[in-house]
Amino acid sequence: MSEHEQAPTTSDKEVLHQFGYAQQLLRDMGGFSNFAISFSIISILTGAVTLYGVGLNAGGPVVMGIGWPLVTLFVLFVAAAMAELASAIPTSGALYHWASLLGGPSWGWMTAWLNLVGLIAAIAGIDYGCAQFMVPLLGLPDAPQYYMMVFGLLLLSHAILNHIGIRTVARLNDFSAWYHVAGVAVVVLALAFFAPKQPVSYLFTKTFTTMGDKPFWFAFLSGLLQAQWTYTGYDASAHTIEETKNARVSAPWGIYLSVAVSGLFGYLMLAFVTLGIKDLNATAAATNPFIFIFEQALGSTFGRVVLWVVTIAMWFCGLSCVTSTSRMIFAFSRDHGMPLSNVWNQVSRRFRTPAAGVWLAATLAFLLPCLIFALVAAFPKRLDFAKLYPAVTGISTIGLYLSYGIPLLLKLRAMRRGVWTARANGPWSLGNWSVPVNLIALIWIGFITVLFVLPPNELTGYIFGGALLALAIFYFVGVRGRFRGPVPQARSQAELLRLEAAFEK
Amino acid sequence: MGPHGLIIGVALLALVIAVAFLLGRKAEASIEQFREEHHEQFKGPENR
Repeated sequence: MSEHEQAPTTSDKEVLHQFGYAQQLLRDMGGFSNFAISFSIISILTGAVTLYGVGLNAGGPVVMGIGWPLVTLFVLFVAAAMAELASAIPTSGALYHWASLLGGPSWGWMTAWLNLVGLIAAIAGIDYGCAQFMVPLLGLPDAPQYYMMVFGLLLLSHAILNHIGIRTVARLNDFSAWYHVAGVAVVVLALAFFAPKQPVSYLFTKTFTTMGDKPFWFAFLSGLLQAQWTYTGYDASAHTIEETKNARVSAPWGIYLSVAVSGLFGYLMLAFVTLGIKDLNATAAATNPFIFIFEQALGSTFGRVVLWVVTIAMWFCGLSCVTSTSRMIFAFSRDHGMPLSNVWNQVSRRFRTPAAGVWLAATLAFLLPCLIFALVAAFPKRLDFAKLYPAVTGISTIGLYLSYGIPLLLKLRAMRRGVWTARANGPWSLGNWSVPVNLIALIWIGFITVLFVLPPNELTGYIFGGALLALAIFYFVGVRGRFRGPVPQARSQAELLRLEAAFEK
Repeated sequence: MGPHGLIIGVALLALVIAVAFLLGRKAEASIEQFREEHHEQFKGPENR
């Protein structure tokens, strides 16, 4: 712990030097941009919309009225606990780096892979979802090859933009934040003025479920996947911390405020949409209940407009997700944690972006649906692609939240052992509230991890269990004893400055 | 949820707002304290 028990120093670069890393990435993001990247990944217009039907079919309007704020409450605790760690250890490895310093290389390695599995599944889920919306909007035939083609083009656009620079991506993210706010405003105002409305009590008292074989309380809890999947990816503010100015303050606020602001705007949107339901049974049975509500309340033209608004929001969400994942790949391979690390840790000298990590993130995300199609083709009677898409969102949620939870657990252990003291905290700290906040966050993470692998989400459990088994075999066969965790890039300040000079030429 | 749903919902919303505000305020206070303790070394956005 000694390396971060030092007093903070004047600049972001010097703080990074304390951890043994050179300033290779371009530090050009302001506080708003850092907030915007997480706000764009949470993307209330993506998660809450694509899984609206999941929530509605599980528990009805109360999943929106009560489920959303319930999840928001606990996610605020998770975000606050993560924000503290980001302020204390401001490196782009984030969760992986925190776990390595707090628990050793094995914990760090596992955290990194869980985070990567979650992020890759998130990119695939977001961009494939975007392709599913875009194919009919573009008038293309409803066939798998067209979905894959559009999916591939979306990933290509994200990879190119991420390759050419954080400045461009940051500007797009800033725009995306305002776009999301404006998108919600359009939805809310249109429904408020032109749609017939249910009474407000409808949000809190109206129950409905298509899971008739399960008790209602369980169906309601299953529906929380909608909100919980929406609240993923806000670790992006930590992954881009080496590119953020005044990092130890701006990035923690980015994590925390992205959740708080999404909570507010997401609730406004879900409340007005749900109050606009005319026929609950027909809505729940629709292919996309969210769009169905608009078509019923405001006509098919406006429904199509909303569909475009949502599709563009998903594009922004995917863009931010590739940014976040590439920084994670860069940081993990910088410490030689991945096969072929020397390939993936390459930084573009021209654009000062982790270019190899960008392309790897996009490629892996493209391969995931290919793998699912192959599995469906191999076992057509057992597997159904329509069920596999929610499973991907479940894998993403569990993978990400476990990677969020491990460093929080290790921090509590370090506090109990007296190796983490107040001196280790960064400026963004919860002081004596830290222990209860971390405990509540961990209890929630444990709860959702179990909940989202229980039936009807058992497929998520099988796939995630398989991925964990593969990781365990990989660890014991090829990694154990060899991976040393975070490795300083240089032994002296002079060496770090030489490394930086090579990029500043 | 029945008639209690409205009470639960409103109470939950109030709780979320209170928690969000209190956690944020606690963090803000720690940043201020940090700034005072390390004012020579800590560089806030206004000094950048």
